[in-house]
Amino acid sequence: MSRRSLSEELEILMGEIEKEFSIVLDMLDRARDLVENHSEEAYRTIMDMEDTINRMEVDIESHAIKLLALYQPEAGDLRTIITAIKVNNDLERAADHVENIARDVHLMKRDGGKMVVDVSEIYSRTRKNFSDAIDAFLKRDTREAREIIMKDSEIDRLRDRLIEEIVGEITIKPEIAPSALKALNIVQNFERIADLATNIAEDTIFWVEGIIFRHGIER
Amino acid sequence: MDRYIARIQDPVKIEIRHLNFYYGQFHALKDINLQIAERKVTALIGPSGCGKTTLLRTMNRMHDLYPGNRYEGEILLDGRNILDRKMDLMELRQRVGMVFQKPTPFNASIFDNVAFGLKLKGIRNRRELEERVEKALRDAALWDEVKDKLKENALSLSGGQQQRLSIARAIAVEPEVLLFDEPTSALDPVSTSKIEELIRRLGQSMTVVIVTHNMQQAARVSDYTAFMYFGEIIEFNSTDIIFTRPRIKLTEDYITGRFG
Repeated sequence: MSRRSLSEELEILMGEIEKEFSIVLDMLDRARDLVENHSEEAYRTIMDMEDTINRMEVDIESHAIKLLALYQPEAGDLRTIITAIKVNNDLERAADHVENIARDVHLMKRDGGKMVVDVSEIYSRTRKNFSDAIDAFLKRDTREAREIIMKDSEIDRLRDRLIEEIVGEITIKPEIAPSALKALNIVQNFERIADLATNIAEDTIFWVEGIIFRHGIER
Repeated sequence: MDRYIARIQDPVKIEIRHLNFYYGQFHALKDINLQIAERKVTALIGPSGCGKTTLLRTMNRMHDLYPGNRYEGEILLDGRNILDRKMDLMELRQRVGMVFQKPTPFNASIFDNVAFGLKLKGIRNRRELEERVEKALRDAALWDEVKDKLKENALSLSGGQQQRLSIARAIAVEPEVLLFDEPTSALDPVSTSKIEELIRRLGQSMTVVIVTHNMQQAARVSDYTAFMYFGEIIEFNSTDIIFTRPRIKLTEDYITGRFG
């Protein structure tokens, strides 16, 4: 392959990130589906997708490093590559959390356990934040990105409420502790995915506006 | 001194074997072994006086224009040694063209500047000349700027346009290899960026070798890079490896500006 211009390279890099996004979102839906429709095959599919994401993460990072070294990008081009590196990392971590959820659901179902709390709301809110973050990123929409950041605390409160419910269940029925601990992990992992959606929204603001917007600090 | 000369995976257009070159008593190139990939861009980088321009000029025997120069070794172009005494230099220079550091327009019209090499080749048919001049100017990304003033003197063009005109003249005769000797060192950033884009594009259809003292330029345009020092090739590899993880410390020191 002969050399391309930096603009062509950046388009390819962003296309790779977009593909990574859609795989992680698909993994999240499949992990949720595992709660109702568990099968060994469905679980294996999620694990395979996680492998794909790991490989993509390495490819995207090495592509980005190459572009930094070969093109000495500045201003918007520099921010595009830095954002790609950060979002790439966020997506790989999100895929790790989905993998954790899938593993806990799989082990719980395999051992005949039941989900002790209803995770449909935390799933749907996490999914919405995550897909909105993708949307804001792809449209370079910083207004939407700021809204996503505001909504993160709602998911934190929902997680706290679910943890209280789980602890309550264990207190009443100690025999469900193995399933309850898995449910606890699942809830925590959903919340971490929502945190990563917030990170992606922050990355979007950096990319478009050049502002570092994190921990209530703008610089 | 440590050296690392990679063998390339792409088809080889020029293979240089044990090349030594002397300007009179001065040993300017020392045991050069290098493969130039076909239809790719190869950059030669290194500090002033390292021999990169000398090496470039061996590839179309430009040194023969001056007395007292001597070659040893082989430069195989498609397997044939161009250092052979029987080599027809006119033919060689049509196959291996050159673009110099300073634009070299002739004091003639834009059209005649590009048609020059074609006429030398014996093309007289007006229509064919017009078609090939237009194609060369288009390929050199200059056509839109000059199509309405082909009869004007080439010296009226800006520096960047003059350099693209020199490239148009070189590519009009459809060389297989094009040698660039610091083609943008006399140009402003916008013209430089146009020439770099042009070099990347030309590299898809012909073999390009470029000497540049601007190593960022080598990083931006080339597929392969050779780092030279005191007449030797210290490291040669694909450009992304040279600029992200060179094997030789001297290369790393040069690229990161920690030289000497």
